[in-house]
Amino acid sequence: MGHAVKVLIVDDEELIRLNLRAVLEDLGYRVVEAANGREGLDLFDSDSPAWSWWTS
Amino acid sequence: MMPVMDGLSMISGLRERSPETPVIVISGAGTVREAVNSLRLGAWDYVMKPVPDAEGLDITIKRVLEKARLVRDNRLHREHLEKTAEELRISEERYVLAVQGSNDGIWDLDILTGEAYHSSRWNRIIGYEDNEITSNFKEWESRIHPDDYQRVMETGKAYGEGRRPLYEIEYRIRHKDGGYRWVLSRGACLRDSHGKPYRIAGSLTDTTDRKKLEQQLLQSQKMESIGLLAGGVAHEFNNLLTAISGYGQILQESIPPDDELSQESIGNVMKATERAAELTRSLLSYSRKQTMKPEPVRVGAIIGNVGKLIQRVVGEDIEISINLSGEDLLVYADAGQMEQALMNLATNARDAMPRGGCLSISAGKVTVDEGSGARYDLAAPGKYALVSVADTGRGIDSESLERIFEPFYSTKKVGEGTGLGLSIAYGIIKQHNGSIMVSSERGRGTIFTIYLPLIEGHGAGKESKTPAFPVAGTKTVLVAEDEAIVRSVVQNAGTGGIHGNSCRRWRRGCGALQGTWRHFPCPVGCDNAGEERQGNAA
Repeated sequence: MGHAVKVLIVDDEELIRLNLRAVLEDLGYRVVEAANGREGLDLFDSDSPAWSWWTS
Repeated sequence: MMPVMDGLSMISGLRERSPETPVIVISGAGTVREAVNSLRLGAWDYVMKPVPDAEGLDITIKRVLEKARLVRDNRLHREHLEKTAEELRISEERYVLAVQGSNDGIWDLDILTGEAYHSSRWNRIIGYEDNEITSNFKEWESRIHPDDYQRVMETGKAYGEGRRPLYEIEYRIRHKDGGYRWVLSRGACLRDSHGKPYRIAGSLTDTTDRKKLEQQLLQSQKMESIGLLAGGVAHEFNNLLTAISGYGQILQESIPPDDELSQESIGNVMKATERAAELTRSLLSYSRKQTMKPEPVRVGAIIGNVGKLIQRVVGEDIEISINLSGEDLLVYADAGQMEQALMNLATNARDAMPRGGCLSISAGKVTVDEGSGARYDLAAPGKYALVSVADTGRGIDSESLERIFEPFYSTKKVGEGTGLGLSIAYGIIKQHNGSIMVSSERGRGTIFTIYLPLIEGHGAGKESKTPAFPVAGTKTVLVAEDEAIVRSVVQNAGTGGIHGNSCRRWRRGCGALQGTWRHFPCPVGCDNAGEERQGNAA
């Protein structure tokens, strides 16, 4: 069930984001990323319901 | 790594938006304090840079997801609980309001243990505060009226065995004061898998007042029909008596005065006839067929007259107390009849106190509300004079109380009372559009309560005058009487009699009047009860 979960990565270092994305996608998570908090919250707001952990 | 402030505001921003979305902080090496801070602010977990291996990350994510699931479950449970509690509260309120509104008592019996719950109202119906009485089967059972016990138990059994669709029964239950209240009990039970009831609960309605009204209605209907019967018989009988005494009188006058045996015989016939006439008069006044001459009269004046008469009737060992409220109680009444009614009650009171006591007569004013008229056996609401005649005598048992106003009902020995005194009082009061009620307790005494409609506003009470009966003359008398034997007596008295009056007889008084009034201006003798409309027209 966890594998349908969407993960938002927020980090200003692109290298870290890429790294994490690779790892998480390997684990089966869907990944979205943002470079800072503002951008992250905007993304969260635009797609809020999808962030519930039970998203299928 | 993102700037710290940016990260923390991000965490709180997310918390505001979606408190159940897990947030994991990725913290730079050597900044554990920052990671702990962010946990305080609402992060769910943290990982240290450099980014951990996939397995570790997966475990962390799974852990926060599990935690998020628990948080959500917890919230849903809490919400469900709150909703259930709210529904329960509304349901409880509905139940409380409905029960309060119905004014019913509630009972709930555990059939297996005999333990019971009785609501406050249940206890109140039989006169108890909650802490004064225990609630269980035995206690309830012991309070059922002995005459109702078997019926109640059988109803319960029949319902328990499924032979009755409902548990519903009306019975009497003992009140704290020792008296009984009528109650209507209704309930339903829960059954085990074998259909055997193990719990039964329901409501209890106090029906005492309704029962009383029902009985009162029944009683007044009975009195009404007895009155009709008695009145009918008395009227017919009266006609026959008129003939007997009329012809008797003629016979008496035709027998030579020196024929002593015949004179004595006819004298006895006349005496017996007089007594019979007295009896029919009493019956007529009970059945309200007596002619009444009502006038505005003060209740105080009637009681005053009766008070004087009573002094002579009762012995020295009975104390008489008369209490008038001082108010002017003006009623529309035949003073003579009303005095007779009160005298009969007073005589009854005297006979109830052979060893002395207190006889009190009181009067006052009451207002009978709309709707409570039936309770006092009165047709209309309004202002009434309330007169009570109370004694401290031996009292009357409930069985006799129910029949006390019936004619010829007497608890006295044969020869001691006619059984008509109270019936006459009843008839007189009813004829005055009033009502009379009685209550009594064995050994404590009896009280009669009379309601008479008050005249609103004031008109002076007048002295009652009995018109003098015309004695003799040479005039024409029209006799309108449907009973041939009565007509013939009057005619005989006229023609064969002493004064030589001429006499005409007509079958129909009204037609006779219309046709002949002008030619024969005459006094009219009319049968006053037979055909009322014609009588009135005369």
